[in-house]
Amino acid sequence: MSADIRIEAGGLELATPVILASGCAGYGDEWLGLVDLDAVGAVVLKGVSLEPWPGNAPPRVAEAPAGVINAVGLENVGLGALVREKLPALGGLPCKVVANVVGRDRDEYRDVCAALAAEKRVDALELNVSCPNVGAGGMAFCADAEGLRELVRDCRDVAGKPLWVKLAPMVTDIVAVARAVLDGGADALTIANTVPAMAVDVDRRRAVLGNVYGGLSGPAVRPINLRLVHLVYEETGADIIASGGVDGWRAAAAYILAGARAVQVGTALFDNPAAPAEIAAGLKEYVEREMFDGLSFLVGKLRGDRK
Amino acid sequence: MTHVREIATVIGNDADGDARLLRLGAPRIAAAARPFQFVLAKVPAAGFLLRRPLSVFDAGGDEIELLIRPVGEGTGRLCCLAPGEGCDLAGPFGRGFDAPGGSVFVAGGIGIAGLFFALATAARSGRKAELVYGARTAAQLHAKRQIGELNVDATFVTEDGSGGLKGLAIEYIPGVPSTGTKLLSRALEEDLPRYAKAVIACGPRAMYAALRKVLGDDAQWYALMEERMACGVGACRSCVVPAREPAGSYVAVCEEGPLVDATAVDWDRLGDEI
Repeated sequence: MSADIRIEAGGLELATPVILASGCAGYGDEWLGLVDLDAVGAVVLKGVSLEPWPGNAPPRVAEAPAGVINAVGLENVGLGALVREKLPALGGLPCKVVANVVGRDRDEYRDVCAALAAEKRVDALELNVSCPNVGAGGMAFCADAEGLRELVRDCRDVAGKPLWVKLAPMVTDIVAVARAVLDGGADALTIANTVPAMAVDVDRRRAVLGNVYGGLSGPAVRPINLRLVHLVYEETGADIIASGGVDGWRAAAAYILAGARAVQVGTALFDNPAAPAEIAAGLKEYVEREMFDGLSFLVGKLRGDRK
Repeated sequence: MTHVREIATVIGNDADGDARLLRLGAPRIAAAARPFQFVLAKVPAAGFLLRRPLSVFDAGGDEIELLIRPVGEGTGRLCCLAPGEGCDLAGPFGRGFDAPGGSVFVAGGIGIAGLFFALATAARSGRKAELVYGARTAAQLHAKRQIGELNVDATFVTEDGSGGLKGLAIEYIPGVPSTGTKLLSRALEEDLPRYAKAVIACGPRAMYAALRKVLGDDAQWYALMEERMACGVGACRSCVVPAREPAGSYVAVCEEGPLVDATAVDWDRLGDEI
């Protein structure tokens, strides 16, 4: 008997807890051929704004110790092209589709959510209020819990489908931010976006990235985000989607034991496009070996209390 | 577009000036690869999360060749792969196609890696092709033997005169009377400037800047672009270069390139790095 790794997370029934992360996963179908989408529960599309955004000047990506720093800057085709050209191509995907929403202000977030509410191929929405690479909008929202609550409430009112909110890792009190977002009506928290970072090319005496600053992802941030997931789960019991350095089943299992119901895989795709399938298979074996009735029984099941 | 991941087997690793030519058994990628396309090679060591984009230098049968210059730690490790070892490749990526007959290829240094496959494909199928290949020194002129085996009109140039003619590649482009004076007599044999058919270039940004001046604003030419890259499939939008239309926009090298219409690139925003 094959172990059950289906799980309900953030209002969606996922075939596996492995989700492709926004940004790295493009518009859902670019990775066909390299990534086995049958092993994936959902794909989160590139963040979309009302109008197309051009993104930042290159270089947009740099390698870091155990990580990658990016400053793509939310380049996207805009809502109209997403609906007209991208979503219709996703009919055959075997997994759920989550649209990621960005905006410069509350109105833009609400308008994009309202438009996507009518799209049948979109199963849930994820608000990106935590991008480190854009001036207006982005992670500035996470610095103001009260404003964030209102933004989430606006979107909740019009979304008409499960609503996830992707948080920034570098905030004074992530529990307060999480509570505000849950108060606003979010179904799940994605923890977390990239960590603000920088790389320097000493030979050229220049910042590597065109934007100078970027966001760090990959295994380097995993211990940081693991703590954030654990902290927020203990304090709120919310549905949490973990993100940050998930490159194998052990990393995924660690996040799930810390309180996550699903994990997002992003940077690992670049190095190993087979990572999603390997993670799903590894989790299956783990659940089987530990003789749990299903993956959901592992959520938050760390032994021992904090001393 | 079909991309595959394949653990290739290193068959040969030979010195070529200051670069290495890796011959790899990679049947699936070899069968699919077209001129100008590239692979993403996993660095054979822990801690490297971004694969390295490398042009398919040549492909045939079950094999591909990669010409790699060890410019950093990642490419340095790839250059150390020994025969018998595996090499984790994905690809082929980017748009691949045959260059039109009469194309003039302009290569700078390791840039020959991006052009040789197209040059060889043209020559092997009996299409006329010319190559002007410049480098700083003779050690940076690569693949001279392989080029010599093709029926192409090749001109080698070095800045210090240590190999071929002395000067810059752009001074020897046939059919460009304003600066190609050193080969002017040959150029005049043609009815039309040959660059009007297609100049296809791969080299450092400084060479592209010089080419723009030499060819003028009206010339149609193509540049093989290089950018820091992550996914290779058009998903992450990391490997972009600035585009002229619409203003402020970008094109992804992995998806729309790597060979791009040079007149569509916003060179002023790109700068002259690399």
